[in-house]
This record gives sequence, structure tokens and C-alpha cells, in this order.
Amino acid sequence: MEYDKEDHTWRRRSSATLKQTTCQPMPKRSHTVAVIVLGLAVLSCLLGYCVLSETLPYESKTLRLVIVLFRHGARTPISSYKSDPFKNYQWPDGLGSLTNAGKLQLYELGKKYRNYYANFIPEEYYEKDVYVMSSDKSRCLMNAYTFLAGLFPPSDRQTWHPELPWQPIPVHSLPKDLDDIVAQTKPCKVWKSMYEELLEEANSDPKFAELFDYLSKHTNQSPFLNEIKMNLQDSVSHTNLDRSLYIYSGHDVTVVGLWRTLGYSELLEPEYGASLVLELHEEVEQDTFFVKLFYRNNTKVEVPMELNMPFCDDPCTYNRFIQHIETLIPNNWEEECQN
Amino acid sequence: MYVTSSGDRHGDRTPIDPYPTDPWRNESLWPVRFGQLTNIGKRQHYALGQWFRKRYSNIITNKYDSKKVYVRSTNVDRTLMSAEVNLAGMYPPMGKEVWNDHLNWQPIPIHTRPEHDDEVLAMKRKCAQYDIAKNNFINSRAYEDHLSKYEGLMDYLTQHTLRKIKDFEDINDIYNILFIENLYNLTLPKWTHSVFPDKLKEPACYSFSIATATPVMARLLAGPLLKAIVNNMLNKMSEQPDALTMSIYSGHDFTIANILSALGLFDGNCPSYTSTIIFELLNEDSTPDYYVRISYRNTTDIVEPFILNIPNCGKMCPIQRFIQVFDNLISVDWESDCQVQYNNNLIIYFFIMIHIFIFILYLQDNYCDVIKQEKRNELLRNRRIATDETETCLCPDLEQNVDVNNVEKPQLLL
Repeated sequence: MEYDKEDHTWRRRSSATLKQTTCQPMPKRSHTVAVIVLGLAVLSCLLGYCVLSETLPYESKTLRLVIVLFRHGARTPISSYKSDPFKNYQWPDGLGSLTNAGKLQLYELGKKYRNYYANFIPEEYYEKDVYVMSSDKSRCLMNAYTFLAGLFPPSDRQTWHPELPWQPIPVHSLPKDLDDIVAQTKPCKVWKSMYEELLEEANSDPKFAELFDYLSKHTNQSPFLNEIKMNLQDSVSHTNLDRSLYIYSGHDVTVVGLWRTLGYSELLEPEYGASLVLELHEEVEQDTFFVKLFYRNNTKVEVPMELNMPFCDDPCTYNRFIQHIETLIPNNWEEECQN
Repeated sequence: MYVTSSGDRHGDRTPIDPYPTDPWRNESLWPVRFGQLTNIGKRQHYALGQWFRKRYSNIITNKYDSKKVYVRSTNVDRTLMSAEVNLAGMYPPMGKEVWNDHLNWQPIPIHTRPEHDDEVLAMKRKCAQYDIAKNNFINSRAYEDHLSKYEGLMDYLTQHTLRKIKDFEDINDIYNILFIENLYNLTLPKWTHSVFPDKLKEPACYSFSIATATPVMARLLAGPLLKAIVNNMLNKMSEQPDALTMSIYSGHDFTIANILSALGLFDGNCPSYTSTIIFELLNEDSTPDYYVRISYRNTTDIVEPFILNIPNCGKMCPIQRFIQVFDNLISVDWESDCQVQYNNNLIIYFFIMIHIFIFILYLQDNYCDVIKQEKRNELLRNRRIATDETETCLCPDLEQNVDVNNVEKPQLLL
């Protein structure tokens, strides 16, 4: 990891200077003591930093925009099967609902992001900075709320209830029949017929992989890709200066879909609360923008894994990234779907 | 008591767009950004939620039940947030619902849809028929006469706010800004003293009844929401498995006013923050009689709401009678009712035009034929008398006709 390496070199250099300072003989005893005490203080700070650096805020002067997409937390089964021994078990909130553990997972994830981006995401929630969009499914909406509860506990000024460290934050959504972005449930005729065809051919046909690839790359993900493209563009062209964070609360299919459209062919099995993060960086001196991609497979991961996008060099320039996703966005989704 | 649907307005907010000369137009003078819900607003809605919980503790469980309670909001930050705090007051986590020991709150889903696609709650989806009806109303003599009474006031406002004030909605925008500033104990400029609040209030609040001024407008604008509410009630009566016990709608002042006004219940007062309309379906024990009761509270204080006297039906209105009385609203078939019918008229008009055109051609043809025939006859007659040559008539070539006539006349005299 890039900034880990930096961290490493920086630590070594500083400890060297430190040794130099402590080794210099000082004329007065009190001075020596003072220097030793100071030196010890600095040393302990450094040591503490080294130990804790993994969880300390992410330091970046180039960061401009963060787009987070996560899967909901633990839920009860969506449907039972014929020989299911728990077929008649009354799940506390019915099938497919978010459990308390699931609520907590995303709350913890929200807190992780708060710590990780402490130097980037403002402490106080302000609606022009953040845009939150969720699938209309109850578990996703609920997870968006708990994630935000962890990410934006109210500041003193925002505290409205003395005993409730929580504040309402708007979560936007689209009804199932209109959602082509997060849940991707808006009907698309072409996609549906291809999907049915695929189910028929299933494993027997070697074209399976190819077709699946096409399906996941095309049509169904494209409105979401388009949304990402617009978000990046707004930031690059400075049309939306306030907005620095987009949050999407979706399903495993949303996460896997984005993963595949970004060119990864390995099988991804996102756990509950898995999250993908796109970061937009600006190198002011070079006047260029870069895109970075990070992944957390669950809510326990402390430091996200940086991914190198197969279609792009490292670092991946914004232009190359846009160029790639543009090839996956049809000019007219409705038309391509033949709705 | 079975089903209840309530529409409530969001809580205390800052002005949306202060006028150019407003001394308080600097956003930093306010606790939150313009148009946003303030902490006062959050507390108001929290209290409302607690009141709902108390009032309906006999029909809704303490534990949140997603199959019985449905919450919908317009896709606007302050209404979404109001709904969230409302639910925080209504459903503090109980027993097994506690998911976080440090937080006496639980997430509850609030559904929404884009405003331009929402004819039910936001009432902002495009409806061509509605636009026509509204346009006709705005251009009607009665409306223009009413508006002209306030010309002096509007000129006065335009002059002092430096914003063009040309109708009731514009007056309401100014009234609303002054109202909020007054609420925050901010000193209002001197020019307002002669008009605020008394002179502005009546025309400002009248703006809320324009949107549903005619039966057609009321049907197309408020019909879908009332239809949804009545359907909820009918579902509950017929004990449908998916029947909801409570639906909560989080909207704006105009949502409240449009519903009241469409039902003939609007009293001319602007809806206050957290003003709430409650539709309740009641039934007396072991009888098949169901009644609709509408209550309204137009204050931010948590007091017992007023039971409204439903026109032609009373305070306890039998549901079948309710459906009859408001058939104009409830029977709305929004998608098809909004389609412009003058398309058909155009087609009919087009057909009639074509027919008239063909008829004229036919007449002309006939006329021509008649003339030709006459001429032929005459020519034949002429030939018998004289043997001069004439060309056949190429009707409607007049010159030839004239020629022929000129030639013929003296001969006829003979």
C-alpha cells in the first residue's frame, strides 16, 4: 500500500534524527534531563503512531471525492427451501429483514469510515456535502440510516435531543419499478430475455461465462455507472464544489455488478456490509485527476485493500477511467433495453 | 379504530429563498442552511411521533411492524428528515429491538419517489389536463377580479423587496419569509409594519386554495392521495392480508391545504409546521358499520386535534356515504384523466374539414358539370341556328364563359 510505504520510510528517517538529538552531549544536567524527557515523549508519540497508524485517519492532500457503495448487513433468509428444518420458524421480523447484528455491522462501518476519513469528511453533517441513496428495500434503507448514525453523530450544535446522540439524515431512494441505479430492478426487456436464456442454457453451455460477462457489463449496471461518471465529472469540472461524499446502500448484486464492470473476472463473494470505495484525487501541480479503488470484504476490515483496475495503469488517470466506463454506458438505456 | 392515515407537514425550517433586500438574507445568521429543518423542527416532529404512539397504542404494536405501518415522504430533505424524527419518537426500540446499547433509536424505512414522478404525495407529476384547467382558472374573470384587489399591495411589496410580486403565490413567499423571521425574533424592516402580518395573511393563505380551485383541478391534484387513503380503509374493512393499520405521509403545507381544500374543509388559514390531518376508520363493536373521521391540528403544540365536519356527511361519516360524497375525487383514474382530449377533437375537426372540403369540390364539380351541360345544350341549339364554332367550356375559366355569353346573347335575342 502506497501510503503505508511512505509511512515506513518517514518513520525510519525521524527516528534517526531523534537518535542524533539524544546522543549530543549537553553541558548542563538539567538540559540533558529536559532533552531526554522530551526525546522520550517524542519517541513514545512515534511508537504510538507506529502501533496505531493502521487506524489513524487517512492523510491525503489530493483527495477530492469519495463514493461509497456497500451491501446491507446480516439479514434473515429471504426464502425457505422445501426441506428447510426452520421452514416454520417465525423469524423475528419476517423473511429478508435486517437483524440487530446487521444494524450494528453497518453502524460500525459508519464509525470506521468516520475515523478513516476524519481529515476529509466534515465532522458536522451538512446536506450539500453528502448525498445518500439507497435501494427501496427496507433492509437497505435501514442500513443506510444506521451507517449514517455511525458516520455522523450530531455535533454539539446539531444535538437536538439531550439523550439521543443521533440526528436524522435524508436518504433518497427510487421505487422498485423505477430503480435503475442501486437495486437495478427497473425492468429492462432485453436484459430480462437474455437472463432467461442464460438460465435455460445454464451450465451446459460454454457460452455461459461470456454471456454472463456481457450481462453484468452491459445494460443493467450502466445507469449506475453513468451516475458514478456524473458524480466524478461534477467534481472535476467544479460544478458541485460542496459535494464530497456519495453513499449508496445496495445489495450483493450491486457490489458484484460494479466489481465486474470494472473488469474483474475473479469470483467476488461480498460478505454482509462489504464495501467498495472510489476515490477521486487531484494532483494540482500536474493538473491531473486520478481514480483509486478500495475494497472491504466485511465490516471488520480496518484498512481497505487497494485494487488495481485491470484496464488501467497504476495510478489510474481520471480520463482513462471515464474512457473505460463510457464504453459500458449506452447512449440511451431505454432504447437499448427496448422497453 | 382501525386504520389511520395521516398527512403531516415538516417541522420548523429556515426561509427557502429570502428576497433581495432582506436584512436577514445572509445564510450564516441562521442555525442551518436555507430551507432546512432546524433543531426546533426536529423536536416538534419527535413530540408528534410520541403523541402518535400514545394515541394509537391500542391499534399499533410497540414493536415496529413493517407489514402494518407504512411511511412515505416526498423526496425533499426536510420532509424525509421530519419523517425520520417522527418515527424516532414513535418507535423507541423495545426489548429485542434494542440493537445498540448507546443509542435509544432504531432505523425505520421511509419510502419516497422522485417528485416529478409522484402524483400522490408530492403532486408534482406532469398532468396536461390539470395544466389546462389551472390555466383556465388563472385566466378567468373571477380570479383576475380577486387578484386585482391586491394590486396596490403587490406594487408595495415589489417596490420594497425588489422582487416582482405578481400573484398570490408570490405574496405567500414573502409572507412566509417574514413569518419565519418574526418567529425567530428577528427585527423586521420598517416597511413591513404596515402590511405584516394582517394585510398579507389573507391573500397569502388564499394561495393555498388555488391549486384545487375547481372540481377538475381538485380531482387531478388531490384525488390520487385521497384514493390511496380510501383504498387503505377498504382493504382494512375487507380484512385483506396486506391491509395496513397506519400510513404516514410526510409532506408540505400545500399537501395539507390541497387535501383540505379538495374536501371543502379549508378554513383559509395557512397550515403551520407539523400541522396534521388524520383520517380514521372507526367501527362500533360487533356492528358492520364503518365511519370515517377527519381530524385536523393546525398548530405546532401537541393538543387534541379538531374533528372536522365533513360536508354533507358530518363528523362521523359512514364510509359508503363518504365515497359517494367525494366520488369526484376518489374515482380519479389519474393516468387516463390527465391525457389531453383535444387530440380527439382535433381529429374530429380534421375530419369535418376534409368533408367540407370534399363537399365544396363536389359542388364545384357539379356546378361545373351543370354549366358545361347548359353550355353544350346551348351550343347544340346555337348550332341549329348558326354554325359558328365554340370551344367547350373549361370551367371555371371565366373568360371563356364570358366569351360564350357574349357570343350567345345577341343570338338568343334573335
